[in-house]
Amino acid sequence: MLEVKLGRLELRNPVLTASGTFGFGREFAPFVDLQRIGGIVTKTLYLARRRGNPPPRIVEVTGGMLNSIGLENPGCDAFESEMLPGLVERGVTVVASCAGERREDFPIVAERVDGMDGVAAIEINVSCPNVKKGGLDLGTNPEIVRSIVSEVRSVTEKPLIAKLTPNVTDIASLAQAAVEGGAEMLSLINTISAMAIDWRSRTPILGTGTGGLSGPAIKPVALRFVWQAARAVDVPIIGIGGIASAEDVLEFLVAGASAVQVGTANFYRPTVSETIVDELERLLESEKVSSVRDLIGTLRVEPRVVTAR
Amino acid sequence: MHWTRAPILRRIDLGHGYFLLDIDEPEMARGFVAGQFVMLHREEGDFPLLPRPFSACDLLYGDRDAPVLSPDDVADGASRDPFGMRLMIHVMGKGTASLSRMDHGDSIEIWGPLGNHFRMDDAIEHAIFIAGGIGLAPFPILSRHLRARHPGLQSATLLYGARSARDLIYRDELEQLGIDVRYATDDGSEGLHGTSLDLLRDELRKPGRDTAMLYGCGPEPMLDALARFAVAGGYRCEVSMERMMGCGVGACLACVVPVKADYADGYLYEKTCIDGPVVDVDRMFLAET
Repeated sequence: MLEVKLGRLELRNPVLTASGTFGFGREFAPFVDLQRIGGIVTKTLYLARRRGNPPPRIVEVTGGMLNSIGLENPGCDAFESEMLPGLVERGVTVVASCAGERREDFPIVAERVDGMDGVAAIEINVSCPNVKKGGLDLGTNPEIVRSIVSEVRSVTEKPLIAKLTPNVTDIASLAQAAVEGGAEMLSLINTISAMAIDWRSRTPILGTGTGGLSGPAIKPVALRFVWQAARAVDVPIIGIGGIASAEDVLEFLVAGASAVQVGTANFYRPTVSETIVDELERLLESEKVSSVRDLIGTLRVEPRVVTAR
Repeated sequence: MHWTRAPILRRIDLGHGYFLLDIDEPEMARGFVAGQFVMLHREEGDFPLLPRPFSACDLLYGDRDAPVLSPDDVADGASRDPFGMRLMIHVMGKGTASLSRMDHGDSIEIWGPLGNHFRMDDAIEHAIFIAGGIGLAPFPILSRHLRARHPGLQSATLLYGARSARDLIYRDELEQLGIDVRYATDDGSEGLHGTSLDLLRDELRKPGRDTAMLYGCGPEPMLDALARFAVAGGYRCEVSMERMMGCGVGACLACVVPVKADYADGYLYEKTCIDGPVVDVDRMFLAET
């Protein structure tokens, strides 16, 4: 009833956890049966350990939060030796999120992760708003995204997901560029570039000035992006943005996503990923839907005629 | 460590934005060690969205309607295991303001016990607790645990500083801990006109205190000053750090503090939630001033 197939990647259900919101899974083992969720996407990995940005790194805003973590991560060696074995032992579907300091680092990290048997798929994070070289947000440029994806494609046989930024006006051309580069799936959206200010001190609240907005506030934005991306390309889409309930999941599936990632909600309800799976089963049963697959991309957009009574 | 929805037994208002929440959650209370914390999330729409971390200041024993704070005071025949936790909270923003409106009959999402705990061992002869403001929270429970479990402890002293007399809270309970309690206020309205660090300098003149174990909790500038003081004087010292936290379980990477490490500029970040909140001052990365 809940199984989904995203190209070569088969998931027991469409509920994954989003990169940067679920650690390496083990942090949530006291709260969630990790085998029951569709899979986990790891914190983004670099080849070597990375310290991340100076605090304050998060701030709560209406309906969401901003973060400027800056991809702090333990590096590939620590991931492979300390974190991955426990996940493989538990039978968890692991998607490794990969990125790099510079463009040329992306395929180096991907090649390193390609050698890890326990990794089911690679998600290339070409969309973090908190890591910028010379002010250039490389994930907003379709040409750069195409070339990074194709360089990664050439070093790995694993199912490949490109995670896209919402900080563009034309998501269709960005999605098409990622697919042309060799992405088998797209995930979206990453956080929305944003800012919070303490006017009394005349300073930004985050240590880096700006950060990325996530949480329930961005769900409508994410739904719009997913719907547009699904119409622009033929590969499976993974929807991300403010998902906190089974109802939210089904909205994304109807918009055109084949699976979703739960992010910020893991912070304020550590059990949420598993309870969404439970809720999904109940909801489909009560609605007499035999498979989540029957809902994917079923959005009807028809002109509404207003008639006078 | 687990997540649950727990009943709130009572809210005790201490005035001026300070209050206590008694929470009925036996399993979490039994596993709780001084220095640890819990995350609270009020399930009510999307605000406050994020949970907030709080130390327990005491565990609750005996009768739910009239709890006592020490297992020694439990009536004969009753369970000597704690049934709940008392959280000490100061209204600082919208999140804590929202919690201050909860009371008996409400339930709250809670997970814990989280984080590490204060060092407690038989080698500690003199314990000195240095509290600033709401940083008082972990010390009643630490004092009780140390005294109950380590009979070699010869003295325990609480040095409690706050802005003003009205900010010195929980005093009846503190006086009943059976330890020395000394007060300081920034405005001189009660106790020493000064800070808890000023009280510490005085306390350390007593015999045997050069090997005292110092425990600090309070605002960041106070802990920074305490850490520098302890490092310079060669004192054993642990501090409990408070940071903005997103999850409490080590996933969001928001609550970091710099610690000495073999990395660029000599430091890396550690998470206050799972590597802390208690940090030995010898490990802290203290930037040059």
